[in-house]
Amino acid sequence: MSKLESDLRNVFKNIFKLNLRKINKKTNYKNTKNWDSLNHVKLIMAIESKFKISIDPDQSINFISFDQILKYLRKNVKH
Amino acid sequence: MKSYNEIIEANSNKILKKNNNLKKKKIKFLLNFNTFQLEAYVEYYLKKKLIQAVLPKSEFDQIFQELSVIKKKDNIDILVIGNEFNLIYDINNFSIKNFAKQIFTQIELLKKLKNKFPKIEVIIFNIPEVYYQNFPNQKKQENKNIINKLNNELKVSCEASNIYLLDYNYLITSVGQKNFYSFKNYYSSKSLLSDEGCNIIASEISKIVRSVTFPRKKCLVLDLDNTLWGGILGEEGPEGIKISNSFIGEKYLQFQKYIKSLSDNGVILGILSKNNFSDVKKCFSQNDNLFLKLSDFSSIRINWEPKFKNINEIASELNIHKNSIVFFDDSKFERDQMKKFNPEINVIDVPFSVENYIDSIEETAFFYSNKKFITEDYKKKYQYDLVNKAKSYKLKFKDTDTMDYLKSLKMKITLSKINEKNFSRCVQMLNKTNQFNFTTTRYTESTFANYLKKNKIISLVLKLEDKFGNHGITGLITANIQKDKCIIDNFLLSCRILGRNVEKIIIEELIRKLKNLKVKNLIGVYKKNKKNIQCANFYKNNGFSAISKNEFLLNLQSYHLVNKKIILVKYE
Repeated sequence: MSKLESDLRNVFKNIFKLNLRKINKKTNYKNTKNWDSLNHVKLIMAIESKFKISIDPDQSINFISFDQILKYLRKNVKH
Repeated sequence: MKSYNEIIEANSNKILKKNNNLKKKKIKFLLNFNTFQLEAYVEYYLKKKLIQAVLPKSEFDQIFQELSVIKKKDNIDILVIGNEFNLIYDINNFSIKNFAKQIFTQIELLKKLKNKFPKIEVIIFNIPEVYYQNFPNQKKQENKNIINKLNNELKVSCEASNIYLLDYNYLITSVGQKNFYSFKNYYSSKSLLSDEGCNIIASEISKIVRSVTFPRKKCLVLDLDNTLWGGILGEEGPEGIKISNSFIGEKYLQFQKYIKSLSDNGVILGILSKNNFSDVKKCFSQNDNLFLKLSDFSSIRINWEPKFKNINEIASELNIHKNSIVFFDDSKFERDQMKKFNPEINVIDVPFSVENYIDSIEETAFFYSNKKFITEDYKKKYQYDLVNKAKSYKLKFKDTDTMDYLKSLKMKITLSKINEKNFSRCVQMLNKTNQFNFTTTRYTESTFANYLKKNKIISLVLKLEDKFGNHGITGLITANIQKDKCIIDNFLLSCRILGRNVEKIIIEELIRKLKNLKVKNLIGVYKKNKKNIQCANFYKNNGFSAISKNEFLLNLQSYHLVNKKIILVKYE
């Protein structure tokens, strides 16, 4: 697992209060109980400050699964 | 400064969560922007101060609605109200005055709320400067004046109703509007503040919450070398130490100025240093750059004894409890020793660089209070100096000459009822006094006012003067008359004036008054705790007989007054 992925899993764990083991690429807003609009905003803010990027609000609407966010970060975070 | 992610991470740390020693406080936020971000920061800062924030859900921009539905069973400890007009959707209705009107209406509501639920502490933000990036066509100078004026009015109104006014305006200025606001956050989540903004507001709120959770600390004990000045006095000499307007010395000078300001606000200072006392004396008299003078310190221990031993002497000299002392020393060794051998002392983890000294004290020590300051607070240092003078004076007398000593002090007591002038000081004493306090019942201003109103209370407030000066208001007794008996609910004296037989005089005066009122029985209550053991035998030694574990009875009809006339008593 890349550092990027494990960092993102940690963010998911803290925001959605999930067990780390249960976070995988299939985690999405439908199968995650705590993924409501408020926690979505928190998630984006946490990701922005963790990876020191700025995410456009239009873009963040499309962040509906762990996999999608990971793909976005791979493209946009400098290693 | 912490980023949002760091805050979230720290807050979900399980080890911290399980800490049962944290004091719980239920804090409700009512802001006109989204609160989740600020709440997370407040939770974080409070945990650092050993308080667990319980944060009930609240809707944003529903201040009036939510205020009107607060109930007793909500058990709210602290209510935070914040109004921000630099919000984009208000751009067409821009009027500072209308906005302020809203806040004043809220304060009226809050007053009623406080009457209903006296235990709730309320924090309200004052009016921020206009963010002209959002309101480009406004007259800047005019608005500035209006805001200043309104904020002053707010201050008066909040002080009168015992509400904490958070200087939101100043906090924004201190980091700059551009850094404080994040309109990106506002667009995406209506949360308005940047990480920096959250940090500064949350840190300030957490200080207020701490000041209502824990008692205020009284004394700051400082080291000298590399703390009050740079370098080591013993090696570099009085002129060699770094303390001046140049380069490294400037930081220490600034620190000394800050310490002086603490002292002006009622914090007692002490020195605890391993040095030769003669060197230090010489240094203070020769080096003109030192901002603090030796006379600013009420207790001084400069020798080569272990500090954890010396600090006991400081505590007994000032007659204060050890847990109201804060210890500040740059040496980790000394701090660790202090923590190990004297765990009651509050030890500040002094940061490596001098420029962070002030922050570390602001963050961790408990001196903070932005509520109204009572005259007695400013006079603290003066009063402790009086105590010291009296102490060294006492040494001239033999142990057997107590009466001569007391007579020669030429004490004068002035007694009065509780009135508007001394009310705040009375509440303060009720909350601060530990050693000579029989019941240690704590009151807020409103619960105390209620207590006075609901019962038939006879009260005596004591002012003491002696040959050295005026000690101010230092004692209080309130007794509750129920038909032919009377119960002493509160009886306390400030530890500064103990050992002068004052306690006997005040109880005699109470008895005299009760006899005139034809009360038959007087009941003294003693609730034992760790700190007030010295009260244990007082009632017994003064003619009361125990009727239960906590209660002592005195039959007033068969009691004869004995006034030994050492102290002059008059009524105001």
